[in-house]
Amino acid sequence: MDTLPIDIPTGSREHLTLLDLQRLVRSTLEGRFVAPLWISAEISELKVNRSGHCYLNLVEKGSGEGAPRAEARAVIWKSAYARLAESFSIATGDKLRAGISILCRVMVTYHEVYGFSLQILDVDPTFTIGEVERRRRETISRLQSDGIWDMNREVELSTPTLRIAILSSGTAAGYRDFIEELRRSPYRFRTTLFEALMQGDAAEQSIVTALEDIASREQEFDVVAIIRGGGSTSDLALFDSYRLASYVAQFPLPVFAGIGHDKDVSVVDMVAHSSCKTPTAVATLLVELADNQMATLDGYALQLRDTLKTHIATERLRIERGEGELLRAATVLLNDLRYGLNNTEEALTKELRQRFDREHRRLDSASELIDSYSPANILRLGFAVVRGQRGVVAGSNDTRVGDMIVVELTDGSIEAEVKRIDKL
Amino acid sequence: MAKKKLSYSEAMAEVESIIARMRSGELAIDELSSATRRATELIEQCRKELTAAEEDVEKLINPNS
Repeated sequence: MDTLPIDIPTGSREHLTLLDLQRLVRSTLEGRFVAPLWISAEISELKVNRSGHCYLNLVEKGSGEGAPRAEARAVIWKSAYARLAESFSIATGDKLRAGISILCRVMVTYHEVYGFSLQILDVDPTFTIGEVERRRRETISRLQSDGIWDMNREVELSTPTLRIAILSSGTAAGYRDFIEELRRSPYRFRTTLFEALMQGDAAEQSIVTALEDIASREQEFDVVAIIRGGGSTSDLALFDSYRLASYVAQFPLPVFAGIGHDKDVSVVDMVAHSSCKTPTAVATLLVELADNQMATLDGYALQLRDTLKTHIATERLRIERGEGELLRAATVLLNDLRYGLNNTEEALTKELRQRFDREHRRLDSASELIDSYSPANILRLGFAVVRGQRGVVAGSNDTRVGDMIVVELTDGSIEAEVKRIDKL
Repeated sequence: MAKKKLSYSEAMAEVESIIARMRSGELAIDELSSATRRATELIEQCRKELTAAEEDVEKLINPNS
């Protein structure tokens, strides 16, 4: 390292060249920062160039969203980058990327042309883990205070749960495993894939867009499966984001998460209706759910059958009892009717006979009367019919002395002459 | 012209009318004979009809006798 014996000019007309000034700054900084030191900062930009060197922009933000309070360029040389990036990813489940905060050991450097820069020699992932955890807790706390933390878990599953909207990358191994697991089951699941990016910077928006697509066709599905499997573990922080977790929590259909992780549970896992470690496990859960639903339906069917049997038996008994009662009532009624009919018949017969008797007596009486008025009977009593020349002599004025008359008797007639007429 | 055959009640009504006329004495001795004959005929007709009706009714009431 050059140490230039440059004195800072003090006279009014003395001056330094730019290079002298830069050298002076560099020498001063290098003299002050002789050993690496640890600093904390947020990565605002990160780019790995073709040669494998990683260039970063580090910032320290204020409390608001305004301009950073401090900013510096930094670099991780290729020789260190691969090792640092891998160990960071393994430890945190995230990757070195813009938007995360890191604790890094840096060497302060200054170049006459390129200016101030920090060379990153090491990164302590535990700081980021703590930071991630802090943010995660913040997200959880916000979801809870928003009152949406339990919403998706409280969405009722429809029965049967067979129509599945799958949110996944269409090429993910996890998606294929999921479909294969469902296919092995005895049930006819109907799956519809809504493709989304499951990693990278655009993943959050892509997943949100797919969720909105599914929500617009809500009636067509019973459940949503968010599947991510077979990719790197570095993008799991995505599933701790407030925006995504908030969408899942408030989703109108139950969400089953199978986002493929072995360690911590993401916030999306926490707010989802159900979550499993792998897509296959989600499929298995759906099959078990269908098993349970079928068993419940079978149980209902058995109960229904038993209830119906009991009901039928009860009704049959009622009908039989009713039949007996009806028969008894009918018998009583028939007996009553028969009795009544017999009585009526007797009454009719009696009435008829009386009527006939009356009529006979009436005829006999009429006959006797007629007989009593019959001329033959009257003559038999000693009366006679006297006939003159002008018909029946009913009175003394009907004949005269000297007239010839015929006296009709019961057994003959007498011809006589009227000798004298005595009037009464 | 053959006389129309009277029903039982018509015949009885005529008999009773004849009896009433006989009782009132309005019938002459000559008419009495024919009235008696008519009444006797009607009574005979009524007797036959009554007996027939009686037998019919008996058969209806006791079809096996």
